[in-house]
Amino acid sequence: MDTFSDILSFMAGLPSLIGLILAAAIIFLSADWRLALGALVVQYILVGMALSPSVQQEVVIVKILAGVLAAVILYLSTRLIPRTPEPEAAGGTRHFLRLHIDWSAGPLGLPLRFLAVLLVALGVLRLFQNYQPTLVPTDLALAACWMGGMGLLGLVLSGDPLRVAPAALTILAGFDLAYAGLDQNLAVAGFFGALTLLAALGFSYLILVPAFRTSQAGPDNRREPGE
Amino acid sequence: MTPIPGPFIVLALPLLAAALVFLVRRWATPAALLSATVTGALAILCLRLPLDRSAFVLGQEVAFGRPVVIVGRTLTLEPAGQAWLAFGFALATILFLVAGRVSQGPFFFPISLAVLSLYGFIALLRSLTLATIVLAISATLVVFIIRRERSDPVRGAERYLVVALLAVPLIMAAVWMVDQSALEPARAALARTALVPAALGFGLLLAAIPFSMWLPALTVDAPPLVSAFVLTISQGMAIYLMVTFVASNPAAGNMPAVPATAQLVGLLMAAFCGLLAAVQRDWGRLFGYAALSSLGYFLLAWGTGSSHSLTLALLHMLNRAVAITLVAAALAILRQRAAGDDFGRLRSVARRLPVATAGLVLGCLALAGFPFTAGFPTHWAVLRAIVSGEWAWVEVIPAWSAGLILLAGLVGISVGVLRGLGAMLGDEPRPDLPNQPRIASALVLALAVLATVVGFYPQLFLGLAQAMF
Repeated sequence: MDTFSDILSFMAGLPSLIGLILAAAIIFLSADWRLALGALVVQYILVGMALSPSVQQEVVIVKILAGVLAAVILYLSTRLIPRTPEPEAAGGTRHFLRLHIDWSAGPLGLPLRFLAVLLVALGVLRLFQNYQPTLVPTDLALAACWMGGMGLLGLVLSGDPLRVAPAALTILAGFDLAYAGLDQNLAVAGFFGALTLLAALGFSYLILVPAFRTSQAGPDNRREPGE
Repeated sequence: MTPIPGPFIVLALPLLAAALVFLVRRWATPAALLSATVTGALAILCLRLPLDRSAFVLGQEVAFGRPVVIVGRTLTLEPAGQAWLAFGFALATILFLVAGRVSQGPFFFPISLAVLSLYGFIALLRSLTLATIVLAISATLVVFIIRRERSDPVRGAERYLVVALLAVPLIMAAVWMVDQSALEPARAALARTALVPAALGFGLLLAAIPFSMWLPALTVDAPPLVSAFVLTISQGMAIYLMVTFVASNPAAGNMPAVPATAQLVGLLMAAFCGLLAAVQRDWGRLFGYAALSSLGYFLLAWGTGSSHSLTLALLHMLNRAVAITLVAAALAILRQRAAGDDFGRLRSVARRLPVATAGLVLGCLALAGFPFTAGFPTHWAVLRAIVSGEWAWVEVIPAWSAGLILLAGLVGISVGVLRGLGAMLGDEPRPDLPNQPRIASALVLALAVLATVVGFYPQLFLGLAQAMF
């Protein structure tokens, strides 16, 4: 347990802050659902690490487990979707390590998504110019706002459940980052974890239902998940 | 013998029924009867049993108001929670009876019962924070019964889930701020700050402008009785949390901006959504916009600021629930028998389904506040209150202009109803349509009678409305 505590205390602070900012940005920017869900897992682990100085270790572990399980639920659901042949063969989309990296992949196109991220970054920085850390430490508040902004952007720019799910969970995780230190009630932490899991289950249902309807309708309408 | 505590009944009975109903979910009639029996019995218990002493039910002693401690949390049924649960269980009974004759999907009964158990949990909890999370958890379950048989089946469910999840952080933050302001006088200003996230959070749950768009999507995508469940019972629980939050926050009662904002948002909803209802091309969307317009009157009634404003608002919510249930039951028959509700495909349907057609027209007119319907008394009371001076924006919008704007909403819904009715009339024979279902039509007739009776005798639910806060 000491080693675990050492790791947590090392990672809490700047490393987790940078990691959270990157993870939330990747979830929004990525056109590939595997990359987005991978970033979601990392995000939940980093949220736990960032909270470790101020919250009981058992609660931190529960939060990490709930988040990782939520990402696993979404991953398993998406794996069940019947898929088209690789888009490379169908023509056009570029890949790296089997991940979509094409500029036009995903909603809005990558350049405009970068621009949106830039605008959110400017907004968050402006918000924090006069921030006084009376309630929430500056680093946690900054990361929480960033995650909220990225999540909201993700919700606004896509109606696909596979993109909406990580965005909504990012908002919840961002809120948890700021709130967990303020209210250390175990029941609240437990119910919030249950909400995270059930939300992932709900989204996985929403991901699967249209996909299976499409597969029943015929192969012509199939598509790569998350596009 | 130890009396059975009320919280145990409220939590366990729906859950137990959900498990049993799940086993017989393929047989709609026994599933509906079992579900309706349980919720009906619970509604009667909530309406009749006293909280301050034990009573005997079927020879068994029941202490309805006795607290129960589960995992260190005390669960107690307060009088207001009891009234809200009576409302929820009674309405669910009607919905289950109709769903037994017009299928709403095999999971409607078990999931609705599980969700009702969660609502019971909300009414028993003293912590608003936990209650908010449980409300969102119930929304994740409701997603599984919002299914549609057309091309884009998840939009309504997805939007509902997203708004429920987004509301959680906002309301939790607001509750925390209020708690802090009560604990530390130096942070008293937090109680006022809390009103902003609270307004946003409850605005999301109630589909207030500008967060309204999830509700018409829901009424299009979801089976009609599921829509009715969300619009009446689920939104009712959100209103219960809102009323509890306002009662816990002294700043909410002291700031004139609160009722003024409620009035402005209510006016916009009542008028704008009513006008949008005029241009819809199917009954599902028309239903959604009419329900939204009616919700605007709830906010207007709540914002009038008089000593009876909350009673009026809650009475409107109860009367609105009757109208919504009527529309949903009629729409369920229409969708089942006519295989859709697009105006373009309903030629001569009124001849084959006269009761469902009459139910749709009467229900939507009740939502508009048409005279002699369930919506009229409270709409009229709100209109009179505004025109007689209880209008906060009088310097920007004169009271008579606000009244005219509200009438525009009524006209909008009426035009939408006339368009829908026009689409359903005609003399062409429709041998492709089956006859109207007898029992379901009888239930629609009963609801239509109730909607008319409430129009003439609006104080029917006054006692329940007064017990809700």
